[in-house]
Amino acid sequence: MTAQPLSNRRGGSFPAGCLLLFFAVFFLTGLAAFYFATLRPVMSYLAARSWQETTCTVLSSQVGTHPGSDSTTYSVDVVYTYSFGGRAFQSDRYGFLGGSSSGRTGKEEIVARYPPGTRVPCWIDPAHPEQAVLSREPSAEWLIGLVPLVFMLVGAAGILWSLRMSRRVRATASALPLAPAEPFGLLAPPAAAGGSLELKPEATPWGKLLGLTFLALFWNGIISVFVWQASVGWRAGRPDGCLTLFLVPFVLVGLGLIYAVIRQLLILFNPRLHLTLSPGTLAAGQTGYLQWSLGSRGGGVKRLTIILEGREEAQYRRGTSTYTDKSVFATLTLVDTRQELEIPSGSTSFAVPPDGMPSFTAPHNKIRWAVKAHCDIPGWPDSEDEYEVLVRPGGGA
Amino acid sequence: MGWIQVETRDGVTAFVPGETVEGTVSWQLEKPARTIELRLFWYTQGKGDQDVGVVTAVPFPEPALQDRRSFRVTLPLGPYSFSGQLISLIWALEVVAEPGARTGRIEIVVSPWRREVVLQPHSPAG
Amino acid sequence: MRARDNPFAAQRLEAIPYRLSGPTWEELLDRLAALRFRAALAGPHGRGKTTLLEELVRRLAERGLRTRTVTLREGDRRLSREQRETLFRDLTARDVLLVDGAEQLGRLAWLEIRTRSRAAGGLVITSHRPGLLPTLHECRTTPELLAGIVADLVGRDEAERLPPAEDLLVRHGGNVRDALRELYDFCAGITASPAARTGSPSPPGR
Repeated sequence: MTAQPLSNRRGGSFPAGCLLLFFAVFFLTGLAAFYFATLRPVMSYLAARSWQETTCTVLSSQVGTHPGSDSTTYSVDVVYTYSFGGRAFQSDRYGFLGGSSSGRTGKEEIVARYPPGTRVPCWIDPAHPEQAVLSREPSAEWLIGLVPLVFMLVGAAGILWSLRMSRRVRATASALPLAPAEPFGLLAPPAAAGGSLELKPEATPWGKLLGLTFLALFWNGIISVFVWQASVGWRAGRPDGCLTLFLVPFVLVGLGLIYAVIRQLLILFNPRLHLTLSPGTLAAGQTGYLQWSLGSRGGGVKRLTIILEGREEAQYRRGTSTYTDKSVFATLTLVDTRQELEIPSGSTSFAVPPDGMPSFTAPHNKIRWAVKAHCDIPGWPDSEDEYEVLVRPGGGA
Repeated sequence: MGWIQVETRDGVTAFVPGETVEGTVSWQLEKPARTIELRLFWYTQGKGDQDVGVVTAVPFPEPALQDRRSFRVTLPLGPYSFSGQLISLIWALEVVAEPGARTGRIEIVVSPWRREVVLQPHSPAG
Repeated sequence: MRARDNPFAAQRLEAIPYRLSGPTWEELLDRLAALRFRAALAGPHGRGKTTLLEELVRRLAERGLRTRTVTLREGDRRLSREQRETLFRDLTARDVLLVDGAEQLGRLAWLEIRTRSRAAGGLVITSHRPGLLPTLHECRTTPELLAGIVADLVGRDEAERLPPAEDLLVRHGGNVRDALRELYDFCAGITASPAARTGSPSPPGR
């Protein structure tokens, strides 16, 4: 008799719970910041369209100073009185976004418009006359709230991804590790049966830019705190050599990320390669057709290379981290041209080898096929994109 | 010493996807089993963490201490048996007696060519 | 070489028993008993803590103890519902809880384990850093250890054709698991740079 049943073994579980929490924190933090910085002022601004204008008397006006641990922020502190419905009210609210921020000059200009004793217009909420503002105009400061949107987007994407993973875990939580319903573990993309399919890159240029920007901001945001500390020491003549040395590799990584962001920013101006594959799902032994189009900005491309690649992908844990190794087993060159007339658009046919290994996916081990396109642009960052394609078993197999 | 084993008809171990596999499961146990079950499954071996996919489980109700039962299972359309640099996917029939996890297993090949697909490492062209 | 034939495939590595150096198994288990079965296996990545824990399961069973194991991964700051169920349901004094990767847990989760494991007969953890529980054994690696593992996997003659164990351990900072993965690549003919990969172009599937 053999040892433990092999069919009982389960693949690694997926820590969807803690990931969900991690991304939820991102999302909620971004949501809260976005709400207070932008959404709430915008809602108040819209509601205030129906507020009533009246005249108020300024009692005092000054720029408030709020010293912080790293810097000082300022606020518009104007106190004024007004009457409504035979009652007297007092308010200190200037606009819909309270609090304080940097930039003293702008606030001084505002305060200068409200010298004590002057009578100025203000707007009050007739339903709640204790609510009043001196200015109901939108402020550029509301745009600060767009920054937390990045956190919300990252958090939302992460939540959706974690939920998808946890559904997969729950689906396989039976006593035995059941094989997926689809024999090769993959579903064909929609509208692909027999028809053509416009291929979508694994990561869009904007997606890559967003990801890199977020990573660069996150990394450099944290590192900058320590760099600032180190620089304070250097400027005060008490340099911390150990801290400085320690920071060097981290700063280098940060600079590398900034370079990557700038490079990706330049790539945004690269011509977009549109690929259409017919049929949308390839089959071993079948002829496929690939059409490409670079659009109006394709003139800068001096060489276009498109290959179809098949590869193994094996994922494993190393300690508490996960890695994926890849090994290419098939490469078909579909397009390799430097001809000016051929580069902007064209089509080609190719034969998928009759004994080609179909696409396959399991939690840790995959056979993946991808169309990889490379646009060589002299004097500019090249474009490299990868488009996953499905190769199903051949009809004759 | 007890034993438990699975055999295919005529000892055939290479099949095409969708084909029906017939065979027998036989055992002689020292202690009674509550359940005996035949499983058709695939598993991976190689550099990556192992994946296992059980396609079919055929129970043999009221197993005696010694018996011989026949089975018939239909193979799915995939995945194919293959071996590359990093991953091997292996099909197998395994009979398991519980409690005690007493097992017998044989490997089979499932592919349109009745042989394992071998993936050779390839240098990118161009 | 096919993945399944590679002597350093992941599944073969999992079958390698832990090679105890220093105390004997009896001495180790007696020490564990003296610590009231509450102890830690300490050591950095790839030193065999998990393998030692798995061996402990077998040896504790020989002493009539039942074990319940959970494995934590990077970022697992808390126990999942399934893990709590595995560890704490119907605990008796014959149950010994094994937590692999306990250093991942947050303070509250660790406190929960400490508290709720009181009903069990013991708690043994693996951790990268000492201090959570008394250290039962510090897992260390040596070139001799790695050489012995490699010889068991491929035979002494074949082992001599592979990169030397000492070089491997130095390159991987003492991490045996990483050293064995490099040997996988070596046997598979995988080189670090894709451009350096050899292999005659052939139709896929042949």
